[in-house]
Amino acid sequence: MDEVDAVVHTSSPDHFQSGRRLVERLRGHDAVRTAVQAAQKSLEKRPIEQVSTWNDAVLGIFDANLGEAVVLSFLRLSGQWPAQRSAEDLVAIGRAVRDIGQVAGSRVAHGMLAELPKVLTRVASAEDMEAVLAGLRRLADDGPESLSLVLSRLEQLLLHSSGVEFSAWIAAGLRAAGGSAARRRSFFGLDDQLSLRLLYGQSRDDFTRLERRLGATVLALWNRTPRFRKLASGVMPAVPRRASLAGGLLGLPETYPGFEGERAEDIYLAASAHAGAHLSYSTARFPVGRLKPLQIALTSLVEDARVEALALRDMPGLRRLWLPFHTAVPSPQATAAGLMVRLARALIDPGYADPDAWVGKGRALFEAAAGRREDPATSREIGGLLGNDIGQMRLQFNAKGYVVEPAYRDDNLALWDFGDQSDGEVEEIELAVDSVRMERRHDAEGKRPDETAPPEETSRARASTVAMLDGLPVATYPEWDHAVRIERSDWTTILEVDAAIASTSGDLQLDGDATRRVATITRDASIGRRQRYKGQRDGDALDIDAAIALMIERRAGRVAEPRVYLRDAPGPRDLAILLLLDLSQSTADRDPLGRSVLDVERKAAAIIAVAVEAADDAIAVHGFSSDGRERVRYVRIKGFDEKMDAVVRSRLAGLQSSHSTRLGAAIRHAGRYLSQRRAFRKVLLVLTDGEPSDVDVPGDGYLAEDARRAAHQLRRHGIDIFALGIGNGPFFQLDRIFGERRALRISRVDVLPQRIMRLYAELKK
Amino acid sequence: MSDVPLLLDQYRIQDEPYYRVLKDEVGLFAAAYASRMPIMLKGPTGCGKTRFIEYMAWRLGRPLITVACHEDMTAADLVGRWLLDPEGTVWNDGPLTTAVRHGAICYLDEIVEARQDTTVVIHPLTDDRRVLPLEKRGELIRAHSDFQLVISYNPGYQSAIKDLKESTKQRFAALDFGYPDHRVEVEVVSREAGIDDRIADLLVKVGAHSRNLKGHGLDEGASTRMLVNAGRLIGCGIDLKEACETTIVVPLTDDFDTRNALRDVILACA
Repeated sequence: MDEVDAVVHTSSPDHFQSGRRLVERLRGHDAVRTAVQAAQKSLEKRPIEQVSTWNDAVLGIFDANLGEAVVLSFLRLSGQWPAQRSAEDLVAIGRAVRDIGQVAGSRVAHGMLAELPKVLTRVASAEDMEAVLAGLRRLADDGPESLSLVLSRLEQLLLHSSGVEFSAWIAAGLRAAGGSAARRRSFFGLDDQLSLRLLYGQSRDDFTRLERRLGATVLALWNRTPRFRKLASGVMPAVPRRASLAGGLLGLPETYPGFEGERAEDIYLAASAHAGAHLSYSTARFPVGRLKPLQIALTSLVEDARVEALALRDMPGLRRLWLPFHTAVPSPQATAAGLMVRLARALIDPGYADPDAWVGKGRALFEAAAGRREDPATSREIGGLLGNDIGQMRLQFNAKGYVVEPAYRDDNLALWDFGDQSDGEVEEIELAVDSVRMERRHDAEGKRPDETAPPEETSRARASTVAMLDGLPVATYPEWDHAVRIERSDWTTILEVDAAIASTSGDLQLDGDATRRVATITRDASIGRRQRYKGQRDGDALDIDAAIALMIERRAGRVAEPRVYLRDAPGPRDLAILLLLDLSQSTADRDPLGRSVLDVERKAAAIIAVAVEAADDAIAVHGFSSDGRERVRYVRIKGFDEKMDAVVRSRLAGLQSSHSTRLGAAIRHAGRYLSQRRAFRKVLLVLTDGEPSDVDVPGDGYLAEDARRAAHQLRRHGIDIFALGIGNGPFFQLDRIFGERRALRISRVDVLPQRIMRLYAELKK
Repeated sequence: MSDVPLLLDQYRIQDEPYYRVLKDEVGLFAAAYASRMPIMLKGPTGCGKTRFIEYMAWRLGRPLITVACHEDMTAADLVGRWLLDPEGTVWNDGPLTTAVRHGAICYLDEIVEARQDTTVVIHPLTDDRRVLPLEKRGELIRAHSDFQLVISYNPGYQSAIKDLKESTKQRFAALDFGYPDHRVEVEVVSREAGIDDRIADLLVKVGAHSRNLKGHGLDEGASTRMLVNAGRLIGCGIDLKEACETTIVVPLTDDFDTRNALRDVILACA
């Protein structure tokens, strides 16, 4: 059998020819020819077709004039190609080397041949290899200057990602850089937060995975909607993170080391339930006064037990949640920390026996206070007494190294009122409460990009990378002067620019509830009530009344059309929405809670975009500001055909407020985008904080009248136009510009769902 | 017309239905009935609206004709239509017309489910005229003096699409139904499910916690009816967790996180 096959194969003309071609071309290049022969020898066991294509690949590289060194390098790789791996991948590499080398130069070709062999084990399947090579090709086409950056980091990049993920990361980077070589270099050189996030996004982040579930559970158990905050794992992973209620937020660690899979769920639930108990029962903060670190730690411990005891009265099943984490056992060696964790167990576990007198005393004191459990002062009393005892026992307490145990409990920072302590004292006390705090102080000094600091601060601290009022002039529009009733043509100029991604790592924190409600409303509205058409010739169901009428007609001897069916058809669908965000300087104004108008606009835009996309309709997000009539800056944040992904979110996060509001010009330009869309209904939704104005016009309502005219014209062309007025202003001009029914107000994101409902209700009319 | 008593008999309520009075709803309804005022019972599902109207019908000695409204219901389904028989055509009264003609209470349950062009047929009955035009018959029926219209309405869904027209709402007097106090709900659950107070207490706690999730993953929390169902399964020997899973968690939502939150609640309360 084999011999017959061999005979058939060796007489295949292609193979013969490719081998021949190669030999011909190599005449006079002895070094190469020898190397080729050596490589061929090691490949001779391979299927004939592969050898043939390999020959062609070698020829291709040779002809590409990338230099002898490159050819020899490929031949060396071929000679070392692992036997159990298909030579198809080798050929694919050869082709890629030639193609990319032709575009990017022989140094890159060299780099490929140097680095790819190192990652062969990581790129195990043909599909993965194909993806990696495709990614490199893409980069060669659209960002060749970054190839060497990527190649030199190839091992690192593929450490965390599959070939497909790598390719997707390259595509995302090219898009995010928006054509700028400098930004590409920053992205592909891993000098960019977004780049790192997209790459390492697959890393274990239990918090994000569980956040929604935990929110629902805390709400169900405690009737509170917590605002969660992710506490990133520290630079020193040896110091474990604890949950923290500081700042009125429920902070949970990104991950609890050592707790994986289902156990991760258990500990996060325990932590959330414990936090909920604090939120419900720890009503006052304790002043630190003259307390020593040990007393603070003990008081916190007793307070933990107290709120848990109160919670257990109403929900005894919580004991099953918390108890498994109390694993302390009696031990002859006594340290303060050791005794404390045993005490913690004694206070929650009635079945735990401990011979130590101090632990017993703590238990007794706690039980004696059962009648006054609601009073936080009992924790202070008991904690103080027990602290004295430990002091007299001369036991070691290492404040610096102390970490709250068990792991599900919080750091208790939120319990304490530090008042006017001097810095030194505060530091020591904080050390006692949670040693991780020390690490956080380092973060605040700017050691590394900060996820624990509020996003606003970091963005203010860094210089904005968004150039002001640049952009390509793409269109001119007329403007209406109401005073003299003239429409001046070509009066305003639009400068268009694509939004840059954020330079900070701050991500949009979306209000989960508003998001869900808007998504539901959008989905229901889009599908709508099916419309019923009766008396049809054909349809899904029999229209009983029409059928009876027909029978009556027939019995009466009359001829009637058999229109006896009814048909349900989908309601109005196919919506295209364009969100237009006001990016003028006034949107930087903050409300008493520190939220700026731009923040609300961002979030509302993100929520609406996600919801509309989920309902399968088209949505684009643009922004505008102006500096005089010849510079109306129009920012493209998300196109109709782009998905609402991390890149778009990052652009939203990176928006800045500046300059003025020449609303009419922006409306006209947005209208042009919408008129180019094919859709059943087209909607322009303007998010703004108030009145249009600009530096070169009088403040007599000139721009408001122009905007009103622009809106009117859009409506005549079949585009519905609404406004969301953000903030608490009276918005007089908004009604004038958009019409009362279409000028909606929104002071905070929470009310967004109702406004969207109004919008859809208006659309349905 | 001699078969009228027979016709209505099937709608009479023979035995006293169990209804736990909450406030003054019985007196209010009786007073409204005295002037045949149209009544709207508002509240979430499973709160006793239907049980209440059954109780009142029994108490007032009136037959009760119930119509479960749905999206495919047409005006003819309420009012009546011509049907065909071997001799020709015969008119068939719908449930609303039967009640109007012969003096029963007509109860339209979950009226928002029906399309608005169907529900407008009730308008002439809800003002002083108290008439029902049957256009297909060329007949104008004046309502029997004992006739009254009652509807139930769940305001919880807040949809722009499914709602009663303002002009409809304003024709009715309304009684609010909600989840009862803890103690009362325990009584109802233990009585209806035939279980002891301790378990009923637990179930009512679970119900209360589940209602925290209204609007955050659930349209409604667990209704009293669901708790009764859970109780009934427990009474048959089913384990508490499983009973709650079957009657509360699985029916309420398909969302993974919300289901887990409900399971956490059950675990925490038990």
